[in-house]
Amino acid sequence: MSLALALTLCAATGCATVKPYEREYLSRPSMDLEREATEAKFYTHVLDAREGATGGLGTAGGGCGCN
Amino acid sequence: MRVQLARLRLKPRWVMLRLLLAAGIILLGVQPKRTIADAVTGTWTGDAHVRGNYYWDRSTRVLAPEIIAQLEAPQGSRVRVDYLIDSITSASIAAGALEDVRFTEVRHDVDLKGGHEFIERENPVDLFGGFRFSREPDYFSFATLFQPTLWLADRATMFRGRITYRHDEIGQNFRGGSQQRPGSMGGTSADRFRETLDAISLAAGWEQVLTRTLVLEVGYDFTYQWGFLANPYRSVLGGQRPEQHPDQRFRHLLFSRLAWYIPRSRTSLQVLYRSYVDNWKVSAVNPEFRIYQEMSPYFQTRLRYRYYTQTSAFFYKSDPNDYTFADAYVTADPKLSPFHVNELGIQFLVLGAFLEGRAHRSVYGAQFDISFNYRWNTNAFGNQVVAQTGLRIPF
Repeated sequence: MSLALALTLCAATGCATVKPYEREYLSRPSMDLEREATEAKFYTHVLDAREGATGGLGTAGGGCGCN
Repeated sequence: MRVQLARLRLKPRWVMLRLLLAAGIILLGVQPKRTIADAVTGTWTGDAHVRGNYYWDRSTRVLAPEIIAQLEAPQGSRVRVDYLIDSITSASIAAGALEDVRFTEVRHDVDLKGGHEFIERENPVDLFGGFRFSREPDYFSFATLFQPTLWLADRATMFRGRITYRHDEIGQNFRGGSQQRPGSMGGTSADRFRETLDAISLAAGWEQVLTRTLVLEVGYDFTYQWGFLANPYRSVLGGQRPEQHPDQRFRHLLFSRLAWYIPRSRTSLQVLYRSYVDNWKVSAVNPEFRIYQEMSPYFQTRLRYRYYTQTSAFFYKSDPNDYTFADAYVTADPKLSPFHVNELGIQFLVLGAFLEGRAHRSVYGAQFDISFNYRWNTNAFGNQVVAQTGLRIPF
């Protein structure tokens, strides 16, 4: 479903037409999840220890609480 | 004798760990000297990051300070070292533990990573990888990661792959000070419990700039785990039978993120969605909504709502006393029950840029964040709190 949504949105908007100098808004801190990677590390570890579904948020793991 | 042999078996692991740590320290110690020789800009950039992490539920408290250092070279190389130490205090009651004893233990987590970005046929390529070690008295984990990234169309399209291998060694401590192995496991503390768990994870992601204000990311993550997948401290049938899980698990996860920036209000809206299924018949969906609001150029808030729901594993029983000794698999793990979580979170981010011209670069380039998340959780773990704070200082 995610892939279908992606392809639909991509087709509807015309991918790759946005030039680098047109991406001012996309460079805002709030649009970049990579900036939150450090914060996400501990949070992901918590999810690994407390939820049955893991993955999609980077690597975590280690510790008896996770099993 | 058996104890001594177990100790001897640990030696090669520690030799490897020390060698890799030494390599990391040497790398950090030597690389900055090259900044003097850099002819393009003459400088490296980097930052130091200090974080405080806190977790709370009715049976567990975790306090985890963390320090991160990152260096980036003008030529596109970067190195990163992350050290986290967490102190876990747990009563273990909610997890159906073999021993109902309050204990505190410390976990050390070291992350060494490096990457290099270069141009290949006019397209940027980034190769990133590293190692991670996590150690606590009864658990050792080693992971290695390789993550290539390719950008196309002036970075409007990004493809990313990731392969991770992880090896864990699982032990068991007698936290109550007893010399007798708990439950029906038999034996004494001299009989060392040693199991292993391995995992390989493959992930692929695609990020696409759709418009001047819209970005989409989708990905797939597959993980195969084999080995000891239970918890050595949990049991069923009133402590008479230790937890026993299947020794293989195949996990599939699809994830996506849509981010939209609204220039007029300086607001970013984001929708994240994950769907998960595995061969233990656990399936889960997890939508999340985030609102980032720039209150000023130097102050931002983030509000988030996350919902998580999952089905139970095929061998889960709500009453651990309903199992029999003939059951192939038994569990007391609340993570394998059917449950859901509603989560609300808030974060404040302050940028030191308002001090530009009045303070040193390390001050006006700094940023401070603090966040609080509350999780309304319906399984035996109960409600939970995750709070974090961080200070990033560039140099």
